[in-house]
Amino acid sequence: MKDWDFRYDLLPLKDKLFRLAYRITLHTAEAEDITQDTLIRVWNKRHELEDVRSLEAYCLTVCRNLANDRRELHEAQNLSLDGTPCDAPDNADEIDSRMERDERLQWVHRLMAKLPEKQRAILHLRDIEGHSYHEIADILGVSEEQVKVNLFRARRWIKEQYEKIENYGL
Amino acid sequence: MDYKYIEQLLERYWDCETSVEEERILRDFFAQAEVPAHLAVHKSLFDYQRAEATVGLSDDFDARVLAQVEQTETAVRARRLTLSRRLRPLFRAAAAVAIVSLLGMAAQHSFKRSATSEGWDYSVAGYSDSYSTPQAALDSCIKVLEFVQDGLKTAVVDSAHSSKISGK
Amino acid sequence: MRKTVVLTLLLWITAMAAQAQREQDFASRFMGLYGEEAALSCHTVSPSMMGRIVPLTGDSLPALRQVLSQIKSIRVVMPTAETEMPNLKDKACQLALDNRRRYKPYAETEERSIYLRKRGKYVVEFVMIAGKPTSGFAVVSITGNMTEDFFSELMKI
Repeated sequence: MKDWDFRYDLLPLKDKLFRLAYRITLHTAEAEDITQDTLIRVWNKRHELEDVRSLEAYCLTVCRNLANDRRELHEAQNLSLDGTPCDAPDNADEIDSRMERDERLQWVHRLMAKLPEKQRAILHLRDIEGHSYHEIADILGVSEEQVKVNLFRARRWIKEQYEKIENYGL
Repeated sequence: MDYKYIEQLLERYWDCETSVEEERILRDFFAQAEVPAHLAVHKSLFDYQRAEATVGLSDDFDARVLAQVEQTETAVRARRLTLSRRLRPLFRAAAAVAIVSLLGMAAQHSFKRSATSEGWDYSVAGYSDSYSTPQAALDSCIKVLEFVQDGLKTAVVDSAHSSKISGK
Repeated sequence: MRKTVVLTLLLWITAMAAQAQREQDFASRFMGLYGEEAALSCHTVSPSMMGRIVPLTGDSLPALRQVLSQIKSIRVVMPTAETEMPNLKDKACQLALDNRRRYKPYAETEERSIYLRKRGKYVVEFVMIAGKPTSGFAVVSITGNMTEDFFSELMKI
């Protein structure tokens, strides 16, 4: 039986989990809650995790499921960044201000936000976290083929948006 | 400078044919300040990817989540305590049995010694016979005794030790 | 909880060890140390066999009967054809020396060393280590409740 250590095994995953949760919910405070929730849940279940191949993949799966539950609850207010409530923690402002500083990045952010959740999550895990198809399939619980198809659709759609700027200007 | 390689990578990126490594090369390429005009339009995408990868939680998150873990841990510990408490009589009984049997053994041992006033303290169980019949054993005994007798005869008896023996 | 288990186990092991401690005579200890390595043989007459031997002696040899009745066991360790280990005698004497609180030297010649283990008024073990540097090695362990007249009776046989 592996002895998991919260500080050394789980806590280092927090930022990655937070980013995925944020990608799905588009809501900083929510994402932070979800990250905390994920870590605590996995920690409390650590004795059942002996056959888990990758703790990281398992955490990401839990995180995505939790995020999707919340997203469904808050779908309406999370459609845009403006939905971030004003009593959000400091780091929410950090993200927002960083985005505001660069118009172009904010544009990409909005592009990604428009993608369906599955494509968005896959694009995030691939392009931002640098996971392989195999790992993404493991995290999302779908086939590698499914991952490729969804990634292809997401990238093609983004490419189309870029072509629009090239042709007509922003 | 030839940007054919990057152009090709970009094409393959859109077609989902690039590897994780190649995608990293693209990000690194677009990270430089000077990107040729015809590729510059895509810079924002890869800049965004890089920027997003560094987003993290604040430090006070650690304190909060650790506090929560601590809390649940104490709860778990409390539950475990009740479990051990439930089993405690069992261990007490086991310890009691162990102590009683130890004392019993010791008492029996000393009783036996005082009752017979014999010094022999070797365990009978420690011996397994080499001879199957008493006669064979007797023959061997006699041989050994003769050997010992011979040894004693030739031995220069240390007077100090022998007097000690007879003295006691 | 774990502490209790460990403590109980420890008690048990100590008890077992204490039991095991009191069951070895010199010859079996020597066998345990070198028996396998040196391919030694050990001939044993157990206490129960001893009990069956005494009636066989009859009345013709009262001295022998007297001697045997004080003996509980006999062990003789001897080399076999395969034994190649040198200085077995030195090793045996060293073992006796290492346990000098248990085995007191009684007599010593060039070829034989005799040690006694006493308990109260009895000699409970008689150990004789015999051998020249190169040949004739043997360890004899006689246990029992032997009195001073044991040795005088032994001389009469």
